[in-house]
Amino acid sequence: MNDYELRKFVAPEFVFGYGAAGLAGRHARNLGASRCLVVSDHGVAAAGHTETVLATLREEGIACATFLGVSENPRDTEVMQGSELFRAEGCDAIVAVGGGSPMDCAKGIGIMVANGGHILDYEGVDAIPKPMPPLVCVPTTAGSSADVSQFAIIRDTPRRVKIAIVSKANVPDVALVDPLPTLTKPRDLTAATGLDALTHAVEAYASNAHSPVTDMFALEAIRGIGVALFDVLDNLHDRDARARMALGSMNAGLAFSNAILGAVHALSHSLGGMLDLPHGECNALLLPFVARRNFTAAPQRYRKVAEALGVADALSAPDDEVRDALFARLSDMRRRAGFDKGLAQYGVTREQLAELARMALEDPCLSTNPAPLGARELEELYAEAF
Amino acid sequence: MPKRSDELREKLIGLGQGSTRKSYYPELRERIQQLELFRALLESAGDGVLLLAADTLMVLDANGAACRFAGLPWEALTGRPLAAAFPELAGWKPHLTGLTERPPQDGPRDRAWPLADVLHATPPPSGPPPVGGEERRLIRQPAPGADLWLELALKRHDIGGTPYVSCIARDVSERLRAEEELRESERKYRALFEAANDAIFLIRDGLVRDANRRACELFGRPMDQLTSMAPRDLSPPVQPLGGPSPQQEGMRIAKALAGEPQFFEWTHLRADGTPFDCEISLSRFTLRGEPWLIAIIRDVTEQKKLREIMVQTEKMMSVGGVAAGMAHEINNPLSAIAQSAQNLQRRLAPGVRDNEAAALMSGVDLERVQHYFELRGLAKLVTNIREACGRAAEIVRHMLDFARRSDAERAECDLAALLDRAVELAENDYDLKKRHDFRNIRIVREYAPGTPPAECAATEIEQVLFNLLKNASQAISQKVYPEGEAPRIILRVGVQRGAPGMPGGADGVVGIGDGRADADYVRIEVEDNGPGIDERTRVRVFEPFFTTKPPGEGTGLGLSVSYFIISRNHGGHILVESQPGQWCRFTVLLPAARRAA
Ligand SMILES: [Fe+2]
Repeated sequence: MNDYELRKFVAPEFVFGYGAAGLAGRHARNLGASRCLVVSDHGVAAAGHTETVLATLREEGIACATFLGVSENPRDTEVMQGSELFRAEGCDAIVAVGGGSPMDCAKGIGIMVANGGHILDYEGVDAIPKPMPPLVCVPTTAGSSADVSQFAIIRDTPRRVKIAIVSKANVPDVALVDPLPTLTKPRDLTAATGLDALTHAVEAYASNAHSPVTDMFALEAIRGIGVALFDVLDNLHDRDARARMALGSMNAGLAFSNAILGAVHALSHSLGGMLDLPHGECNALLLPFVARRNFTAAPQRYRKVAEALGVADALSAPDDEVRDALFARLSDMRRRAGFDKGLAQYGVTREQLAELARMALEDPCLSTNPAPLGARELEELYAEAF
Repeated sequence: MPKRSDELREKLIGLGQGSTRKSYYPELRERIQQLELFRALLESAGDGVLLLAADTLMVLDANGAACRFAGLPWEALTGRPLAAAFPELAGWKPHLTGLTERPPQDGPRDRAWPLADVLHATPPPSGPPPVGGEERRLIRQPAPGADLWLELALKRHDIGGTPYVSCIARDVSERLRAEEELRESERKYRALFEAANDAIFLIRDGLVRDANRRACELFGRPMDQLTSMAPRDLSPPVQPLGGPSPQQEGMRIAKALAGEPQFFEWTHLRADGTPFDCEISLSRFTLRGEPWLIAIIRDVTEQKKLREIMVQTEKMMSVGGVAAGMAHEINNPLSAIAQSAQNLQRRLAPGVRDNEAAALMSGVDLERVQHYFELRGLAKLVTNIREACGRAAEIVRHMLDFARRSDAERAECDLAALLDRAVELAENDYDLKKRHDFRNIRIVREYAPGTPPAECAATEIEQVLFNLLKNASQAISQKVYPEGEAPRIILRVGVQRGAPGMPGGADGVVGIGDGRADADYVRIEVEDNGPGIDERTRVRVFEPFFTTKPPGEGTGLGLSVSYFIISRNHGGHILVESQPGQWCRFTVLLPAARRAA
């Protein structure tokens, strides 16, 4: 593959740093908002982050309506409820405060109020005709990177699948990436989101659509997260470690939003859709197996990943040694982060694997996976992680 | 041809046909075009449209029609108060709610500021609340030429958190004019309806729904009574011309409703139950899709009487002519008989030279002849012939009078005085005294004041009135009065305006005159409470020799003579009406004397 093939890089206007969340009011006002729908969830609200953002909006004379009805895997029904509220309250802008769930839900609401119909009508890539109202994202977890990405993942409740809505129209107008809110994140959530961010970076780097620009962000993210995650897990109140995690997560987001992901996310979306399993933990479980499977398709890429994660002789050792070392490193990181369950312990049965694989095969993320994988290979991967 | 997954990958990595960030601009441009189109529509609207600041009622924007109504260019109209456009509104405040408040800026947009509240106005202190938060007002707007009538509709709007008032000004001058014309036309037709001399009913579903003033007069019922009745309720159970009223009415109404206009004679009842004859025209018309009937009811009582008078006159004139001709022819032989009878007597009388000579020559003793005559009663027979001739001659003279104008002297007479004299004559009349004492009859005088005199031959009129009194007393003598009723004659004198043929009696038109200003006739009525006469008698009562009295009780010429005296000699009318068993009334109408201009 040539480094100079056509590649695009899309990113929102973003502000990174301590106190970025406090700029929400200013940015919303500059985007012409007079009445905002603030989309958040009960956990974030309980931590006080929602109120902090509401206060900055009110200071700017912007009226607000609040929508907190978002689950961990945001559902189509929640998107519809949110868009009803938006219309009923006569809102003209959206501010999302929280992790990937409120942000994805906020994107769904934006799509709905601008385009009408049903949220599931916009499944797929480039299927959104009209731009949404101004969207400001204030992430409170370092992980999902929905604040900088063109992805919105919504759970189709009747079909029990996660659908991906991918469009440049999904890129928020402003991302306010503030490490401070992440200080309140509990340990397991910190670990799960951190491993999700790592997965983003690894999949983006290994993607068959990577580019020199995305490579910079991806490698930097892998390096940063590989260290920062365990610094944070050692001391949850380490501000600067939190900041490094937030930066790593953002870098990973900028990379994967443009280079796209791979089989880990395809398999993980399937698990989240069918069984509502937590996204970060699924990624952490599957990443070592997928990296091992993909290795031969892009050995140079995975060597660089291994090197960035501190695997010795990653660039010089034979392929199979590096491959096994990377597998061991990734598995080790997962264990150190506190996760050791297999799929069976998450409640998955062997009978479900074929169906899960069939759904994963439909996931758009699979198209940028470095190795072409069929249903059988996907099922085998599930089996390995069982 | 790339595979599906390749295509998907192209789009995912941002290289698809539509993989660009979305811009608001195309939609914005579309909206701007819509606004421009909307603006153009507003400009071409016939109604004036103004946008006002809610708190100050300052004009923020206005369309062409609004500028035209205000007589100001857009630049001069905007930025000025609404009263600058419509001077009549100076100092006026609409009652729409919260015009001076601003909606709350903060907090969840909950029920505290619902749209309904924004649009619904509190009611003004008095008067009905404006509908739906809208206030309407009719103003007169000065304009070159004719003033305009504008209907303003003001409504509160809340756009982007700022309250505005929209004002739609509609030129309703034309509509008001049309409404006025319609009212005018309605007044005109109502006037026609009310002024009609015929009674008019508007009928729907068989009931009278509207009636004019004349109908109330004619039926003697107030409007609210009439408008709940069916025509059958105003009719006798059976029509004199045949058939039960309800059945006849049903037939007429059905035909008229079928589009066949009806014209027929009918008998109606007044409120007091007295019948009257009328001609009815019944036709259909449609009002708001419903079939209505219009009934025009003409009271023909008077007309019928006039027609009767004409027929009577014609008949009497012809009978009179025949009688006079006959009398003339009878007169000569009668004269010869009378002359011969007289000569017979004279030629038998003794002591006459020619008689003595003829007796001597024929050897007859006149004294003896006389004696023979006496024995055989011949002298009496001749006297009888002479007396009979005299009576016949009297009759013949009367008959000749039918066709001859009297040359009696005319003077203005007071008819009341003449009537009193006739009563006096009757009281002293030997015949009347002999048969039935006129003095036993109670005479009631109802003389209306202010009756003008009539130009007439006093003796002739006196004779007529005497005849009528005699007739009345004869009639009274033929009735056996029940307990509590006594013989009575009512005498009335008054004036009548208008044609003859109007009903008489106590409720009639015998009116109070005012000297002689406008009376057409002096009217004299002689009404007895005798047995009355039936209709067949009534129509023949003036014919010569027509009498209901037993033979020998009179010549049957008295009323005929009276008829000719009044109608031919005086240009008046004599009429008779009767309610059999109750009363009989003769009416004499004499042309009232007119004061010389
Ligand atoms: Fe992810």
